[in-house]
Amino acid sequence: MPYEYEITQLQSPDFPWQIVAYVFANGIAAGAFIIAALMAAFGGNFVKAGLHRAYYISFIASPICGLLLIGKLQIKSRFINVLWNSRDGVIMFNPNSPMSIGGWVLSVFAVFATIGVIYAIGKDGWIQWKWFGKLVTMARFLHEGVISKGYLLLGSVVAGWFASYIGILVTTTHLPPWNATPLIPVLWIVSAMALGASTVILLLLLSKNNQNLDLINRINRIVGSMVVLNIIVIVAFVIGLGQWSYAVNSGHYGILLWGVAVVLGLLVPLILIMKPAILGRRKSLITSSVLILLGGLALRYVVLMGPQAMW
Amino acid sequence: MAQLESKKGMFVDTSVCTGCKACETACKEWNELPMNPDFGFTGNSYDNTGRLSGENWRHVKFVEDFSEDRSEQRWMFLSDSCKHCQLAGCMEVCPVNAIVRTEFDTVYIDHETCIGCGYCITGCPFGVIDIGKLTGTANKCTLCYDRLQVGQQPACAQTCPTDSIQFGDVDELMLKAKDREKFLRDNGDSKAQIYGDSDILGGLNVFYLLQDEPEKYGLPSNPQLPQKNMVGGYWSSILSFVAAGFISLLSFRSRRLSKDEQESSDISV
Repeated sequence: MPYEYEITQLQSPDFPWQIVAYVFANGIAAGAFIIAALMAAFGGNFVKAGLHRAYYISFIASPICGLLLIGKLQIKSRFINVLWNSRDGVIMFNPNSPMSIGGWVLSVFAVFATIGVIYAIGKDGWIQWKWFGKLVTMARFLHEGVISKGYLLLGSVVAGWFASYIGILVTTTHLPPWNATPLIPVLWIVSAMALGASTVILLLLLSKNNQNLDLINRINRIVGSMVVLNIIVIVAFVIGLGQWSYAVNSGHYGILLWGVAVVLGLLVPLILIMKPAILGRRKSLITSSVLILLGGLALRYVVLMGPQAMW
Repeated sequence: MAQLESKKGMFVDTSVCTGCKACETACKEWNELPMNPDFGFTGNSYDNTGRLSGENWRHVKFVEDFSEDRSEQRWMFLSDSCKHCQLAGCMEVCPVNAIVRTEFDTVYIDHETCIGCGYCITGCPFGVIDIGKLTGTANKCTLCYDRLQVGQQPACAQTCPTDSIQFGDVDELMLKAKDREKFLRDNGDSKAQIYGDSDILGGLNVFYLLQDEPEKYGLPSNPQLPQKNMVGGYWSSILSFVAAGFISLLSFRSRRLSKDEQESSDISV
């Protein structure tokens, strides 16, 4: 048998579908958080009523991310080993392993998301319990007090790390299509911003509150910028793959990448953002947001599953 | 890491391997490895094991080397397994420290700690590790850790009928290998070379005497730790986060409203 190192020697990790769903959910969670935190801290003196609702998205998506990660493991009951080494009785942290770091980043992000949702609930006045009020006071201090800018920037950095670490994780492997370029983390961050912003828009549209109109327009502009950036990064990524580009370009992966992720998930929404009159503003916003979510899912499927299908 | 007692390893001399696969069989028998789940014929080789896997911790590669017109041919064999690297990529990336170094300086997977995430599979530059179909944990050659603990040599080395697989202290084996390399080169085998001295991942405890370039056997000529790409990944993350954040803020704060945005009253309809 003729042996070719990359094909006959290396092995696929056979990461299952849960990893695709995980990166999708983590993109929405992290993107929504970054949009809410960065815009609240540095977005200028505009009416931002409703922006805090993005924290609901981050909070709901966080445990889903955790469950998907556990679902990906062969020995699910041992998931705690990622944080605690019971054999040696010490905290588990391996700085050389992006997966180990990722476990901690998810945990820290979940704390930020939880504080964020407490702040959001307090703002919407949903829970009036006395003890909860103390938590709301603390969360409000972090989000609106003197340290708010620093706190929200830190939360955004953690969210950005959360969005990108699976990119770093797959780059830190021997699989040629994954380590051929350092652009997968870039793909995840840019796409996460688009996913998060689109989900926030959908949530704000549900509320039918006229106060949100300016905010929706402004977030929609972020979506437009991220869509353009996303297209550029995808093209650069595929070019960067060089001889391994067939892993994402051939068969149904190629159709999903260029047909669903790029055309349906980015170009069509971009047209709708630029020319909302085509469907009417509300329908355009809903359609473009849904298509961006669909395209983001397809992108993740192609980038994670295509290279694994080489073996 | 356990207290180091000795540095054990193997010298695999491919020049005397006959491809009998007794080592494969002995490995399977001693370690009670199950039959291959996808049993069948490769169809392009007399080797039907195909590759290392969770069920095959040792695999004798058949390098069936033919010229274009098939007028010249030669068979080379290599009994492949975990190399027990000094710089082990699998150990580096394991998120739960399930992969440890033993008192014999070998690399061992603690099956009570392994979570079966599969990340070590991608960290190994030799494609050695796989998830066992029965155990659900990462599997690979242990260098017969249980046999080493009672003073025995690994089952494959004991079984090898031509002494192609020799077990012992790595330093002594390396001296033996260098003598053998010199002997082969002096006798016209100009491509004979040791694969796994300190130039490769700090040294492989299981190293080889090859009769041709490593690529011929499907081995990388200069394997690296997976971490060589990690720093690039972090930098691209940081830069893209800053860029995406900055562009988002600019887009959000822009005072210029499009005509459509000014006429957005139909949003709530």
